[in-house]
Amino acid sequence: MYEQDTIAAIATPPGQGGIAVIRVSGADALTRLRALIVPPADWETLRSHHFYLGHVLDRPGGQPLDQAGLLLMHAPRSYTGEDTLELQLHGGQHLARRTLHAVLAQGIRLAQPGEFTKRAFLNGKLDLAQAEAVLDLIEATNDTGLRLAWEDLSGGLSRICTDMRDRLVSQTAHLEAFLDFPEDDIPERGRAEIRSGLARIRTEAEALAATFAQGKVFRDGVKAAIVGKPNVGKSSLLNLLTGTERAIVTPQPGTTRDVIEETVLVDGIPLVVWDTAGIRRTDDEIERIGIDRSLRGIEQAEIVLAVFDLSRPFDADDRLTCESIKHRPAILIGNKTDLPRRFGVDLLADVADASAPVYISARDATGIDALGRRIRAQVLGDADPSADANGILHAHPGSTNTQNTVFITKIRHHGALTNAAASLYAAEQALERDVPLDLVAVELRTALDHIGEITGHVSNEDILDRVFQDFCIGK
Amino acid sequence: MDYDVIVVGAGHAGIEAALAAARLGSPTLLLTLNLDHVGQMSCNPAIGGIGKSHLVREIDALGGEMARAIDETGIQFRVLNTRKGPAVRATRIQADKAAYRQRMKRVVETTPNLNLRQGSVERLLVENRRIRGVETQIGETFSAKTVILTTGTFLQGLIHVGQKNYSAGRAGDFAVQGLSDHLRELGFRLGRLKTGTCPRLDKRSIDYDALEPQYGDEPPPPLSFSTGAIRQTQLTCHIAYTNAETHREIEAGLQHSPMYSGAITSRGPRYCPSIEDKIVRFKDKPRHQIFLEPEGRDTVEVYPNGLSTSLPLDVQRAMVHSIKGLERAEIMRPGYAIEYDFADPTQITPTLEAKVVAGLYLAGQINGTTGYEEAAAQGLMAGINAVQSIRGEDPIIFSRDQAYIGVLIDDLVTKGVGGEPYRMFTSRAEHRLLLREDNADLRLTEIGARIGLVETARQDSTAQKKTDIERETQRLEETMLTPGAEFNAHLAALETAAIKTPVSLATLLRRPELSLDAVLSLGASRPSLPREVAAEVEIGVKYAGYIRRQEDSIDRVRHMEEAAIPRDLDYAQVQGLSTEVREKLLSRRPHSLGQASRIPGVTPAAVSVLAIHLKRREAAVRPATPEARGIS
Repeated sequence: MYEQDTIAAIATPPGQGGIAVIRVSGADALTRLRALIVPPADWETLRSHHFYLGHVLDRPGGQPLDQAGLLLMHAPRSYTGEDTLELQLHGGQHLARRTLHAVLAQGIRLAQPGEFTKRAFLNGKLDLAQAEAVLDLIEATNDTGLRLAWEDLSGGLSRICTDMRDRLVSQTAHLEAFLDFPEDDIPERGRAEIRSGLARIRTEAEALAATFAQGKVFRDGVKAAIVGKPNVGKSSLLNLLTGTERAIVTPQPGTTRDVIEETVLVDGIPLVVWDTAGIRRTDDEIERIGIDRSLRGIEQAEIVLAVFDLSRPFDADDRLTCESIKHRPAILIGNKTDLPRRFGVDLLADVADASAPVYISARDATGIDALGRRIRAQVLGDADPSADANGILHAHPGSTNTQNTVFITKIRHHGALTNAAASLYAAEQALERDVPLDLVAVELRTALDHIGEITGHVSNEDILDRVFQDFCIGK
Repeated sequence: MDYDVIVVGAGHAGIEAALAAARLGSPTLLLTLNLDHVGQMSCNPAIGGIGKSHLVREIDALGGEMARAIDETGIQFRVLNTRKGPAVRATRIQADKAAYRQRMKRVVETTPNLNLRQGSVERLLVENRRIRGVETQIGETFSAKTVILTTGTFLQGLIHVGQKNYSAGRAGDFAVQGLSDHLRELGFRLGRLKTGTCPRLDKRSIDYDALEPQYGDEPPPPLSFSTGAIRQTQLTCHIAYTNAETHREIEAGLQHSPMYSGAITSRGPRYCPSIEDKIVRFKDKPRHQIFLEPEGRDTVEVYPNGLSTSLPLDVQRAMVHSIKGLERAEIMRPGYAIEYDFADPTQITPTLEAKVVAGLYLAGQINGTTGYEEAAAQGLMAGINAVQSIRGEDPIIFSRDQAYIGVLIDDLVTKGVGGEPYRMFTSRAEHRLLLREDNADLRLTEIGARIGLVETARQDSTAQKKTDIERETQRLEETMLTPGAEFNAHLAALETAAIKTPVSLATLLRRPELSLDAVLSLGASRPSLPREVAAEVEIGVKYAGYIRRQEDSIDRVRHMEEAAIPRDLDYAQVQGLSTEVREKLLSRRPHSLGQASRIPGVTPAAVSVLAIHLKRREAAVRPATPEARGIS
């Protein structure tokens, strides 16, 4: 449900660009802006989807603010499906803001984030998957997340699901033709043949559903906690990862009293990193609070980066760190390889659930690449996609989902794919057990409905169309 | 005299409409162009088939005539799809066209409250957008409270054979000329559809020895729930095949086809293509089946099902003669294509009443459907609803999960028919497992009785059947069998897995490889069940899981179907609807949110918007008094 008023916003990203676009959408977009814009010809003669050069005034009857490109799009042939006017201005935030103010002064409301998209969806211009992708785009926090959102938007997910759905429609159509037209010479497709066709579609649905874990990684980021006793170089590591002096780095232990959160991209993986207070035995009540928070952080983290100072002997506080990360997905990091090693013990390898440590020097920035690869491997596991030169993700060579360059990021999509796969599996079982075909058809329809939850298109007509296209029906 | 109901047209829709109205006690007039053609089958000589038999059984359960008439006069009876599952099992009966006509005319003539008259209706009498009666070609007028139009292919009918065409309602009957323009004046949008039929062959010129015979089932399966045994002897149909030469003849003649030369622009039905369409569209198919079906017992005419064509007569001859067994076959009537006017069915409500003229109902091919069965189903519902409205009673509207009739009418009034005549397929029904041919009586007899079209004896026997089914189902669920060497040997003999823990008979029946018969042989006592009861028990138990799932899915969307949209809703007040969607809703005026959601182009978002609006409206209206409501 939305109000039918007219909305406007600067549609180009903030920052200095060559051009700034103000989009105005709504039934009375044109009437309200008539007095503010001087078109090159009579308003009545301007045509939809044509580009005109005019002027924007600071107020009706006022001074020209700028020359403006005018792009008129009459409903429903616009992004939102409503009458839309786009003003293209010469770049510069200041000018764009002044123009926007002038526009808003004409009784037009500032659009809320995602409102254009919401209207586009409500007007049937985008399907649900595309609309959700756009909204994700608005919320996306890092480059990889953005790219995945774009992939969704450009129909990556829709494309794969539509393809899956098409093949399922084809199977269903064959079955339906066989059921509805018994005297039309429809070749009976063997049960085994239908079954293997369905199994292929199911495998794809399952593989796509399985990308949810990774897709979530890219959308939401991975919660990573940097832990260790005071002054082992946790904040230095964070700074190294972010490339900024975010956390205060001092040689004084206990500087980081609070949990500092930062989103960084490590080897393509968005990490939401918490730099935590150092873990040690202490009587300082305030520090104690920080340490408790660190311990809770370890509980919540999806990956724990446990830092040890190799230049100091292993001590009781290090042992405390080891205790706290027991049974947590941890990566052991030996820091300060630039200094003489006085760690003494080889305990790192003995910590439960951990593999061989990664050695770095946060100060010299060495070992960081190896750490990045370790983090990536730990997060993605087997389904690690590797980026090519263009930054486009491809499935890992040899992995099963070779065509899935798309990750699903929505729990709704995950559910739909999982359910579709379950229905297909049930259909396969039914085919194997000689269950009558009209019951098999029920499973196929259910699977189609589930895939349709993603693509948003479910129709009986599609199946009938396919029947008549593929088979000579009618005696 | 003032009639309650006037039915225009005595085809399959008109007959059911008139009989239903008259049987409900309404003085009814049935007007038709030719009294000798009451219940004429213009095309193939058969009733039933997949999806269609489902409609016929429903008509029968509601007290309609079609099933009984075909059972009495049929010449070959078969059940199709016997091994594909209960939902798609269907009965088809070959008809004796003349006997069927006679049978129908006799019933029409002997039904009380029903007058049969010959006349061609050219105008409707309408006052203040309410029907008052009809006027015929010769100026005779009849007044009535309601009128049901069942004009078939007669409105501006135009027959094509090759490059020749002429005006006709079907071969041998006049077309109706004036009514189309009159309907337009009343505000109807009319469109044009095309269909076609086969040439008819002389049985004596066919070499049957060269053809495959196709026999009826024994015992012959009836369509009506009230038919006992079918006693008449069955005739044999035969199968012939087209070949490469046939296809060459057709291709050579295509330039003279009205479809391919551009004389007809409307698309024919995809499921009932002409033979020339099949050759053009499916080039790779080396042969097509032709079913040779007798048109009756006392005629030599044979219907070569599969040879529908509008090619010139000489091409028709050459093509027939190229077929093995038909080398010397004589064409008695040429095949032809026919174009006719229909009224876009989104202009009628689910009661089949026109939105622009109160009291006027449309049924059958005028609504863009094809098929005797689809027509009859609409005729029955139009007749019922005309009387319900006269009596001020609630309309009878079936939901999509209740009957194929519901699917049919909902599709028509919600989606229209697209570019081709609408035919029923089982795949159109979302809840196919529930809408079976075998359980139409269990679904609808009670309703038919409440309407007043089903006699008490039949109502009682259906109730008895229901009780028997429930009792036996319960017995199967409760009868436990204990594993043992001897028992498992029985199971092994039935080629099914042994049991290790006690199981019920019902559990065993759910094994796909075990029939009810096999399972009953395992129990200690074996009840004697009527065949129909056994069939229902078997289906109900065997497919219980699937049936429950379909019922669950119905429950999930039930609130959508039950959310009524007021007939007079002001869509301009519904904020957030696009102009396009608003126009669609305005033109369709859906009666429920469920129906709205099925209108093509109405987005899920628009439905949510509508739902929210209705909620608000309801909230605004509820606390108000009736007087206050009028003001708001």
